Amino acid sequence: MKPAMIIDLRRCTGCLACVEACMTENIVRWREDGTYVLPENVVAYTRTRSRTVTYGDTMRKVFIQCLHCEDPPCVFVCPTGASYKSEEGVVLIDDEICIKCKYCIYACPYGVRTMLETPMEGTILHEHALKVGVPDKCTFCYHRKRGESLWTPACVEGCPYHARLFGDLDDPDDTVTVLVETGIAAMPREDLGTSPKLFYIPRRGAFEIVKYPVRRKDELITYPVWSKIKDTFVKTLANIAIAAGVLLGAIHIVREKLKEGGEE
Amino acid sequence: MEETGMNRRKFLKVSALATTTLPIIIQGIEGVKGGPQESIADLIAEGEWSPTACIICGQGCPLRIRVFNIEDQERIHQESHNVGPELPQYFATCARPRALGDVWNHPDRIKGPMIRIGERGEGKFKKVSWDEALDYLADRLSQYLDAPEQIALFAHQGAEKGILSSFIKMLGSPNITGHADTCYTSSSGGRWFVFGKHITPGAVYPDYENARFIVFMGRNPYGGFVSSPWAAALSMGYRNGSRIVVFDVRFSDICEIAEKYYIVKPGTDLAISLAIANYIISNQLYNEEYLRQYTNSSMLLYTDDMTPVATTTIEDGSRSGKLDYLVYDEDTGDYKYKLNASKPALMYKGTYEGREIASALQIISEAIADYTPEWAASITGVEADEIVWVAEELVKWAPRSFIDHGYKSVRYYNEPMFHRVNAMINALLGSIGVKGGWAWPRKLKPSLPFKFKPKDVESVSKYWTNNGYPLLFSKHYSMLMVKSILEEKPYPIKAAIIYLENLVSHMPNDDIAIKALKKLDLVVVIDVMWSETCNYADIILPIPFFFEHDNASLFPVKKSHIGQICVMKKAVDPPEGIDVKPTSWIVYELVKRMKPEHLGDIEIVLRPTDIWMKQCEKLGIDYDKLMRYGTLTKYEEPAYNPLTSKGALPTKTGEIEMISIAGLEKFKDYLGKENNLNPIITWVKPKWMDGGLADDEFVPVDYMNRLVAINTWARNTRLLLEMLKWEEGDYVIIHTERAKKLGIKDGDIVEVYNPQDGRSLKVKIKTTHLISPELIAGVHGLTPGRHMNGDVKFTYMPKHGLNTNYLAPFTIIEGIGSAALFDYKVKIRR
Repeated sequence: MKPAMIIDLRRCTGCLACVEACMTENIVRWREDGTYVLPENVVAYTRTRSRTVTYGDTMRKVFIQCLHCEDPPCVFVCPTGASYKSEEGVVLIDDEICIKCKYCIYACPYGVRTMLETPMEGTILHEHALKVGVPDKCTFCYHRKRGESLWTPACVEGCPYHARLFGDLDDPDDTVTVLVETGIAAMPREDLGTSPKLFYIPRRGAFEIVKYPVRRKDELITYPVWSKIKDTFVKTLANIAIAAGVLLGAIHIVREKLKEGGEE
Repeated sequence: MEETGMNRRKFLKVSALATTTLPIIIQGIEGVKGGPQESIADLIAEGEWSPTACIICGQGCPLRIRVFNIEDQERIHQESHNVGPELPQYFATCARPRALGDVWNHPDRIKGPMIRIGERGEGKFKKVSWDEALDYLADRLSQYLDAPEQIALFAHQGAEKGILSSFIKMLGSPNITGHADTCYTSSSGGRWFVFGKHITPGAVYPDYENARFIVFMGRNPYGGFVSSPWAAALSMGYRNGSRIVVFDVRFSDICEIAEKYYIVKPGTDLAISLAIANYIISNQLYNEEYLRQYTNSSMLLYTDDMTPVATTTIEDGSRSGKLDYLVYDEDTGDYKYKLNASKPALMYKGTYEGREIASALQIISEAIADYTPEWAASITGVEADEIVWVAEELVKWAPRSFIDHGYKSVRYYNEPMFHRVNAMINALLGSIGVKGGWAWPRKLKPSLPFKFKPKDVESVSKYWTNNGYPLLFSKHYSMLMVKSILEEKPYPIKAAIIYLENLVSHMPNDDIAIKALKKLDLVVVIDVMWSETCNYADIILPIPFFFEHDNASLFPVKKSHIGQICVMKKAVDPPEGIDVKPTSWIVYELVKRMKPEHLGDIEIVLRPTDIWMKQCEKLGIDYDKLMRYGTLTKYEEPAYNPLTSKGALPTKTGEIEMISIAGLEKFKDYLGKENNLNPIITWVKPKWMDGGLADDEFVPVDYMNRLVAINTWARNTRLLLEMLKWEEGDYVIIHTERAKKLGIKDGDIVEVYNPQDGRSLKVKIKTTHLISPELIAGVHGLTPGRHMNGDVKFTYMPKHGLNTNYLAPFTIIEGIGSAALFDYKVKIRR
């Protein structure tokens, strides 16, 4: 099973129902009284969100999310293996071994990863929901997987206009497979070379495929003050300590060797 | 020596190890504890779903609510749209109902019955018991039972609205109105001239899915409050290859899928329509067969007094009771009644018994001969070539091409005429009542199992119909009701009940709305969350959200083209501490106190399932199937008949009338005048154009957004407002050049005010060049303005926003009774 998604921009009306579905599936938490807890600027952390490009006399809105690349740079750069591909090809994050170095966030050429750094109260909805201090992104709603069959992600279920399709690329009869293989569904920025599994059926003009929008200013990682200090100093100190450790170790080895030589 | 070496070596080894691993451990400590063993997502998946219909924007899109338990506490989650069996995968809900989980326990829910303490407008209330509230209300209302016409009901939406209206009629009052004179009665009234009655937005099904070429003028199906059903059809049509052209005052959502879009000056779209109509008629590009068969284009009239040359009443067939009329038969070269003619002449001029005569189409062509594309270009700012291109494409793709019938249409003074001309253009194309054009939707209308007749007294609507507003829409005349309150004509109104309606927010000129409310002896508000109108209430009765009780009537899916209907079942109780009762129970209790003799008729409202069963039987719907799936229908497609499935329209001739015969009778005095009531189409200038615009003057426009709605439920919801803010929908837009001239930058907060009387609002500015320079434009109703006093609160609503109704003058369009909410000037200042 190799899940893939198609966003049909001919049917998308930009209503943001998918964003809200993702929000209530993965991002919000619940208080005791049944109300939601939302992080500030919640849409910046929602795993699918809109980006609007103004180009001359026209504006285009596109919904972006993790494209679950076959050859994902975010997995390649991860030093611990916290960023990994499941056996179905879904790119996931193991928060227990993540060291929050943020390489994966910078490595993604599509700019889809986020990280929430401010604390958030309440109970999370499931294992793969948004967690504070952990890089976050679309998981194709992997938590909805039951057994060996294909599931339906929240955004696909929430779209009122059948603009989202989710299918199995290993199944030659699956609609998604057919649309991809006939070229109706296109890879955005194929030149980046990561072989994404989120495809788009462009509107007339293929504007969105050519001018795929990168991250907005308010999607850049921002830090509260203490985190900033901590990151500036602790990181530097840690790096100095590591360097010192390596150096001392090297000196030690050299001295040992010299001593051995001397003793003889 | 060795020991020291060992110690140092060990020390260095340990410190090397420590300095490399410690930072890693420190950062790792910030990990997060996981969720409960069985995740909330699992609990949601295991919960039961309950069917209902969403009335956030009032349209009744079928909905499923999933109910589940977290530690013995019931919670809800909007699962998804609901598609019943054998229904096309058509109906779907927009983003708004997914916020229901958050809105259910919203801090601004009215927590129980409230009675005013302090003055009206202070917004101070004390919570009372239901018994106390109902005794108080019954006692106050009983004072009017001798003259019950003094009680007015302003009611907007909901499945139980009919029960409340029935109660008001039972008391004896005929004075019931909705709000749509500030929404669409300009277009529905304009179309009266063509179709013989108000043709409301819901009365037409624009067959986007099958159309080839669609022109939108001041309409954005992707962005309106009422978006879902038509957006689904439009996106399907676009996917199928429909081509779209947009005329608007700004770059709207559908401009993204438009082949071409044109930014026009506000209120000037009528000029484009007249030019298109002129181009089609003068070049004889109209659909001859269609015009002959379905319209009165060939009707002969005396040109000196605009009366039909000869008419006779049809005796049988679908048009029995309607008028047949004299035409010139081109085949035989003489005059006949049309039913006997083989080729009635569409364009004809001649004399009959010494007097000059002409066909209706001939008269129109002469009346609009000066409205050339060049003329329209000079008024609107759209190039003449482009107008010609649009006209030619409309003709080329007819009958699967049309100009959309619009929705909110009470914006400019000339709007009734604008929509009349557009309907006529579609008739010229032959696209009314055909596939790919304007189709007639199928409807299933559930009725209640009781009916009461009001007292036989002149109603407010009847009075105004006879006093200046002959074309008012008798279901929606709220501004005239307010006029009656203020002027005490035909008699004083003493009490008003305002039901799921926000009078203060929808009435143009909020000063007038407040004045009217303060004049009344009794103001009753029935709603779920605090609204602007609550500030001025004497008593507030809170009702549950639509998914918190079994609604005692089935609810039609309002914009369905196939008559889809829903059952609205209870999904969950209201949260603890929210003391609310359904409308049906409130009415029952009031009848018990005020009209106990009718208790037997009305007590069925306490048993919704009994009402549902009766309604299903009457409509021919399978009750068990409806209960099981929540939504059903009887039809497969809309009606494709030009004169509707009845075979005759409510016009005098039963046909589509290019010149309205009833209009000629009623509005003879308006012939030759630049007025909406001229029976022959003509240019009417928008009012704001008088005197031009100074540097700091703007035409205020507000547009809808499908993340918010008219009631406070959606305007005051975090999830939806966050998404609106993400897309900068909380900004108000002006043209870049005008901003530069006034020294205003993106992000500045400015004051928008009506220079006539100083009423003002604060807005946050964003600039763009994709907007007509006259405009200041924003999403409608994002702020409560000054209507947030005492206990009345709107926790999440933005502080800045535009509501053109607040600032507008109280203008009621002559004859039709509709509003003109943008047709004035505002100034801005820092």
